[in-house]
Amino acid sequence: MSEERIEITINEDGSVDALSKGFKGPVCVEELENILGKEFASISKTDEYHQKHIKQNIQQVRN
Amino acid sequence: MSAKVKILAPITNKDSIVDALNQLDCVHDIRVGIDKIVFRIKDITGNHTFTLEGNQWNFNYEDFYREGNGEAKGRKFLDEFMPIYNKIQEERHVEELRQLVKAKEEEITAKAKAYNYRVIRKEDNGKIKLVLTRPRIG
Repeated sequence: MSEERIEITINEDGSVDALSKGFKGPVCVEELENILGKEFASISKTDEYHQKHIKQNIQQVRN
Repeated sequence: MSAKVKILAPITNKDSIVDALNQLDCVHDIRVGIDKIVFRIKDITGNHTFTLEGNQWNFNYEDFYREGNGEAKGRKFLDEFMPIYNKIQEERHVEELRQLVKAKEEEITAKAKAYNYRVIRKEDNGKIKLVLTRPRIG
């Protein structure tokens, strides 16, 4: 069975790095917010994430 | 789908830093957040704030030059404050930092469990790694 996964590293200075994998669409960011709050210093989404959104937008235009 | 995020380190010795800033005549409008200290320097106009986020200072040195008299004020601030700040950081309490990391781990673990994740914990060179997993539904 496929799984949703979040890898979190708490560094010695208290800073946190996190990576979410296996989520559908923008939920990957929402889940990170649920677990870590919304005070992100930086956020990056993968190409895969953007490709999915482009497909969704095209679909919406067609409909 | 995946996303990567970074959260800054909390500020340690926050009270000492704010005390030191309060003792400088040139500093005003100090605001303190969980991971941020923001303040202004008198006679430097506009929206130029000086920010300490995590353990990183965010000064815009170019502002000093643009502001004319502000350059001298800004440099005076740096000359007066940075030695004090460096001394405060040298005295940073290891125990305080350890407690902050522990509290962060407990908070994240509790939230993860509330969202039905399985949590695997590992330690690696002083870093704490938490791997959260749950089956994908649908």
